[in-house]
Amino acid sequence: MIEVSKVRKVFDDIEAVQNISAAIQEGAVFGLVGTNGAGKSTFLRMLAGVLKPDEGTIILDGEEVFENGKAKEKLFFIPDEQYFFPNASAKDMMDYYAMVYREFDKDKFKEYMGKFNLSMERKIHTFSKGMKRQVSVLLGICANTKYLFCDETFDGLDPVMRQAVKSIFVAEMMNRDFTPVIASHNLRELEDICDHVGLLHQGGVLFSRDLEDIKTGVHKIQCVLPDTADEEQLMKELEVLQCTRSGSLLTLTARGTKMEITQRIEQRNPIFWEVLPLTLEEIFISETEVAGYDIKNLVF
Amino acid sequence: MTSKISFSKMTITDIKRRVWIFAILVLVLILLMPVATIIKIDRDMADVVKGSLKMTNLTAGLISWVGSGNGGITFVVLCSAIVCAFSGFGYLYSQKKVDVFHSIPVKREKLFLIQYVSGIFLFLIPFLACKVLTILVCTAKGVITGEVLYAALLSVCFNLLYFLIFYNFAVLAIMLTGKMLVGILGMLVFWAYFPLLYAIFQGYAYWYFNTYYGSPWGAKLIDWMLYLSPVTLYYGTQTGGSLLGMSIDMPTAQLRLITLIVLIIVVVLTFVLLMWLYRKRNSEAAGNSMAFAKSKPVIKVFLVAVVTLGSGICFGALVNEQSEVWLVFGLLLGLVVAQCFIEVIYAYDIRKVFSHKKTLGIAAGCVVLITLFYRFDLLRYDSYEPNHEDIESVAISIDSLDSSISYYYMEDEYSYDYYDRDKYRFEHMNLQNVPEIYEIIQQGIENGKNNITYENLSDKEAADLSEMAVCYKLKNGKTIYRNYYVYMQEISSQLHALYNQEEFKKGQYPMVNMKADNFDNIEVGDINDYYSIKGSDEDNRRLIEAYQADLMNLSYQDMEENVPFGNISFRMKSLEGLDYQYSMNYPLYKVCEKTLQQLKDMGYVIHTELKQSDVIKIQVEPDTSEYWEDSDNNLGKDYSDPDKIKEIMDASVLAEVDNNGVDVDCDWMIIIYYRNQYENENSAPYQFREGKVPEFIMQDLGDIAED
Repeated sequence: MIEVSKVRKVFDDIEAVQNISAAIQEGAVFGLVGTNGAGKSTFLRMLAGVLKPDEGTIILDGEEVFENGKAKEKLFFIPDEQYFFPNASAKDMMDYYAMVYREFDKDKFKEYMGKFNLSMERKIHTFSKGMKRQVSVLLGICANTKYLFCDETFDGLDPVMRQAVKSIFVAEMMNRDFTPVIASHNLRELEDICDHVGLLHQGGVLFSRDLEDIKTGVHKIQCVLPDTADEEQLMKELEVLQCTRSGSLLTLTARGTKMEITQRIEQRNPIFWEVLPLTLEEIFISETEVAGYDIKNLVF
Repeated sequence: MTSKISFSKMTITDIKRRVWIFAILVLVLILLMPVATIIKIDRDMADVVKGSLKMTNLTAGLISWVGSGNGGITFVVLCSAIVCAFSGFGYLYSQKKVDVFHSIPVKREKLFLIQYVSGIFLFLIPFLACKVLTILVCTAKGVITGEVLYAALLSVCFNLLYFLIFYNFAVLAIMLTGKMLVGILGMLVFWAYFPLLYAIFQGYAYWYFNTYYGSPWGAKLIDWMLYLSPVTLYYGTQTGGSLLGMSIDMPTAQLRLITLIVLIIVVVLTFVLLMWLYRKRNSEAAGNSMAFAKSKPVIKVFLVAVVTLGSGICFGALVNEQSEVWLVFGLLLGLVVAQCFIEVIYAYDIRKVFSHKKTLGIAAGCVVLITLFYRFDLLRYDSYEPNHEDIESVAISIDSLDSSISYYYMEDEYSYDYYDRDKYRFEHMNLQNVPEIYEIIQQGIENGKNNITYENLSDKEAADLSEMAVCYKLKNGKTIYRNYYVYMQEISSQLHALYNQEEFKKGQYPMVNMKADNFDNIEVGDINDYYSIKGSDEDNRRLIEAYQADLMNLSYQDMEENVPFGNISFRMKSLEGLDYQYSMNYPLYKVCEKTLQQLKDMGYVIHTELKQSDVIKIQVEPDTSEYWEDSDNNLGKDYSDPDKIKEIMDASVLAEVDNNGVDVDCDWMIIIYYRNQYENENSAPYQFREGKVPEFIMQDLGDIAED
């Protein structure tokens, strides 16, 4: 388990991360989403022990991460910009990481490289951007560390490869103690893989919840009610995050279970109504609006 | 578990990643060491066969070659240190590389050591291999000796230390910076900062202190600045340790040992500093100009102050007369330029050129304080004289006295070299309880207060002026140097007393400290001829001792009344493997009676003066511009009347010799034509003594001379 407590990081006069606290449970995929410049990379670099927090603590399985080899051998960090040694082949990089991570599984790496149709001997600098991403993800997975920190790792992967990597993640999680932490500004990428999501914005955490809780706790309602008094009453009874009207059709985004919302609507004798599930994207737009942030800054 | 990550494996992996350095070094060093050695030995062997080179000379040359005499190695050491440092630690400039290296489960100290050690091996392995090949070449060629082997071993030690010093300073520059360009600039600053500061302090001291002598031979704290630059440290230790404040005539082995210890201390200290900095350096420093934000204002103040002071003195010295107006202009210009440059480097933003005015103000304040310190001599440097009770002994070196004397020392077993005249005098002269010396110094201090220097006087006014360096050796072990100006006439009576001091002579004349067996040949020249003295060893020894005794007895009055009629030259013994020999040349006066007697005993008749009967004529010419403009040169006059010849000869002395205290009238040129002992016509230049021009000459030529 990773426990982050009141972590703060300042670069010159820019507060990149401000007072973040979070808990990343084992055996689940943690998605870290946020706007550009929200502090995702800084946060991940602190989790990986690259950066030292100015304030607060990051505890990984009971150990401080920074300058702690014992903690660091449980994690593998795939930064946004991967670095491979000059003129190195995938085999060279495998040998290097096998030297550094004693659990590194060379056979598995070779097997995955074969499955992804990547050459072990070819110089990595001749690979495309997506191929380099694949190599770094495979290196990270085959290091067999408990935690894998991926910074914008799916960016640059084609949908097929993205799906393949996700499948590997799932397989790894089933086979061993594996906790990926994936930072991305692309919510759609995370929607079908993450169990828990933390939303970073302007250096702080807007919220951190299980994806299932988020999805079952917020719904979109489209309804036509007999009169405005019913509409006003319904609005009072529901915790409405967003409200739009098109003619007599009222569209609401509200917190609550489907059952709770259904009961409230039926009490108002609607002419028409339906409760729809929300995409992660729509939930975050609603949440950030509630928090007073300008959604135009979010890049999807 | 982390400790199980093999240090050696990671080091080898790192070396493999930088194998291109290894390959280039192998190629260059093979050419510079074994191949060049083969060429050198073959060429020298050919000379030996031809007879133009002795075998001992070949060996001596080889010892130098495999030791420190191969200049190409120095260049390779310097370049490889820089390349190894930047290729090994350059990753600190890249965030994506730092992300990889600092996220792996390897402690930073270990990571640092891996990069550090692999950089050393990249240089050391090819260097050692090529050194071994060089020795094998020497062995195969049959020229190997124990001394060659020893020189090779020393070369490995010293070159490794020099490599480490340049390497450590390059890594230090990387540690303190976050961009490659700034890192390179930083490295150059490390090389040049302290030598520049040293030169600037010297420049201001020379400018404002009339009595400033310089900072010789490690006598001052300021000299220690030079240890802080790898370049001057290298230069100082490579050139015989003069920067180390060590006596140059210290035994070579002792000098080497001390140099080795000093170099090792510098390497260890810089290494510890590097380790500490690496631990302290934040990963996010990559991409910033400076790695440590707190260091920025400090570094800026130091840099701006030095650039400003340097600019001030450069502009001040641009005009012939030292100009304080230009000095101030230079200071202002330097201040602005340095501020702009450093801020742009820091921020990489031209709009930030005048940021951080507080540090600019501090730097300007330092500059003003330092300039005022020198300008108004706040420490009363010029008027300083130690308490006489605190002085152990004093040595003086007056420029115009005995200026033709040669000073030598034995550099090592293979060569002599020149001794700095002041240095010799200071080291060998220990005057105690000589009140006259303080009287001379007092005159120097007074002249200093009155700004009496060569620069402030006309040539005529400065004719009798001489520079005088003084070395106070204090009882507390400190040595203090001052430079004064004195009028020779004014200190004449004190010089009489000084020349009666045995201690003074020991410093003034190296010859009196030599032993007879230091020499293997003596030559004597008089007004007529040169004689190579052929005598038994015993006769030669007596001659040397006779001259030493004459020198010790020579008074200042003797020198005031006489000019040397000739000279005596003592050739120092040939050293092993050395083709040439040095000679010590000394003047011969008529009062050198013991020498002349010994020469006479050995069968040499020395002519101490021209016989009047040998003179054919004397040509007297006024030394005026009219004379030189007259193409026919008919303004002079010849005299052949014996009475006039006698009168002229009585009033004149030999010219073009070191006349020490003898005053001559430079308005006249006298050429005496005479017959030598071989009946050949010869000529010699003479000069009238001051105020002794005969009346008849004044009548004949006085009008022209006065013009």
